[in-house]
Amino acid sequence: MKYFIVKNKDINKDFLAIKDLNYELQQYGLELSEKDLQELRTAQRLATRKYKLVDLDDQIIFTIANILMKSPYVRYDNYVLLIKGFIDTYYACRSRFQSQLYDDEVVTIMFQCYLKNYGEINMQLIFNVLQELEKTI
Amino acid sequence: MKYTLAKQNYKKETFLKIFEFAIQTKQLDEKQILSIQNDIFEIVKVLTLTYTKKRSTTITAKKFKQFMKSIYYVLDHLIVKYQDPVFELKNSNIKGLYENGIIILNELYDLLEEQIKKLKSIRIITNNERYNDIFDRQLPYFMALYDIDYRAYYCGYDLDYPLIDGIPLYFDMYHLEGIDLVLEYTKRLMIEHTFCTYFEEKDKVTLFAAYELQKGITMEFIGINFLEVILMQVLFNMLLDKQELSIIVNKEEALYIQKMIYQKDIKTIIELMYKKLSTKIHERSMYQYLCKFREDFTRRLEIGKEKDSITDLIVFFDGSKEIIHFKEPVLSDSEYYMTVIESVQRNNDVLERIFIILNSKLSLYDYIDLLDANILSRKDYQCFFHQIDIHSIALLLKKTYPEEFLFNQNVFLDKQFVQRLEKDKQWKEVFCEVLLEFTSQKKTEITSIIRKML
Repeated sequence: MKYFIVKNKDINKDFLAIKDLNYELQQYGLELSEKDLQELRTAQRLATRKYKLVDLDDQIIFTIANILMKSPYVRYDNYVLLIKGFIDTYYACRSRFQSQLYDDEVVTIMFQCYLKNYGEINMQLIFNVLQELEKTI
Repeated sequence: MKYTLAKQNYKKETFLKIFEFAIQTKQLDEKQILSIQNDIFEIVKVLTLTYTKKRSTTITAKKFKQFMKSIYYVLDHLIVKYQDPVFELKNSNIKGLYENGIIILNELYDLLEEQIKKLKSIRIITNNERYNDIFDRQLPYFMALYDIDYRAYYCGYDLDYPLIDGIPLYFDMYHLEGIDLVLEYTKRLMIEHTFCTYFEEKDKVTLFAAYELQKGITMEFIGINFLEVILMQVLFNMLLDKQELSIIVNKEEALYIQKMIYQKDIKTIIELMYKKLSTKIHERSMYQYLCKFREDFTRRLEIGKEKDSITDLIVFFDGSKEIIHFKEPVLSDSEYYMTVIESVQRNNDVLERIFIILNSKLSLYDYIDLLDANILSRKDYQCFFHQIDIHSIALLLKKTYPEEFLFNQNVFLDKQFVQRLEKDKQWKEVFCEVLLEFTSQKKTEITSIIRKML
């Protein structure tokens, strides 16, 4: 079966979203370009495909970017890479706990575990997040 | 170019087919295509958000496919209603079309509910597992669990009671899915049941009992279609000069029918049967439905004629055949049972003990309990089995070894059969010994009684 699905790529909307985000990021000395956003969207698509999921929105990228800017481990040059890692971890956890928790809740728990894991994104982090999520549910 | 719907096969028309056609023939410009795609995307997004209770926009790929399939299923129902579906695609809002499609599906649901209600009121009384499963489990569960929003295309049941042309899910017979499949099935079931209502319930019960007796098999477990059994009898009756439709044939009539079939060509006979049937059935749709059996019936008659077994096809009522109905024995109350056991234990004389047991009002299951209780000696058992009548012996044999008499199969109480029986208790050993001691005539009587038990 063919699925005629395309996401509405509203250029103005993207521009405004990035402008809003960058306004916040400036306080931490960080920045995201439209090219970065494209890259993150590709990472999101790859992660959903990897975990056999479908995400109908890209809001999760902004949620992750918003929370990660407060991390002490983030630098100007590894910010996009960290978001990509977070996106992958997020979908790894989502494939396990589908729609039982709000997106924001999952990201907050992930961020707490990330801080406890000394800013490392690895299997240990996924394991810790899953344990925490299980406790929350 | 106008898209013309294939009227005869309109159920095969789908929203996607029409959409693809419109794109290929360039009837939709890019903006319109994008707008349709966006509308579908919005619908699936709303479905996802309601499914996740607005917690997330993420769902599994499997769920996503289900939602998409469900949306297309709903749109398919609406698109066939339009004369020019491409024009509707161009000018209507897909969300609006989807909502109207949901209304149509809801109407179909109500129609199905009504249909099932009607069917239940004319349901055939039988112990056939498949048939009862359709009415008691499959149809009610389908109605209760049918999900128009997320899985409108889904029917999780086999609908395995065969109709006259087979089981619908086998070979994807009607090329339908979801509620359409169930609706088509119940529609056909309704025609079959309406035909069955032409005959009295009493006649049908007698026919089914005679069928079981003649074929040597209980109706409980077989995948049989009741219309087939009834229609065959009706068609055979067409060869007799009866004024009304009938399903009853006696032995003489069966022999007459057989004679007629041997004398004439099968095709002429079938032609004659259906011609007479058409004069008695006024509903054309029903007659056409009954004609589906024509080919199969012709083949059966041809084989029957070839193998000289036409009488096997006719269910006839032989007066010499009796049916024994045993009521399920009810357990006596434990107090009474204990008094009988105590009085048996108090007595030392074998004959007296057996006399007490036989004159008590214990049921068959109490007898089995008593035999299992190990309070009688070997001599007692021998005396007991020689005292009870052959009907009780047959019943005891059938209840103790039910696995040996499955599907009313023929058994012979020979040495080989008795040796095979389980002898884990002393009374069973003695019972088997006593069985072997019986004369061959008595053994035949016992087996014939077992076969007549329903």
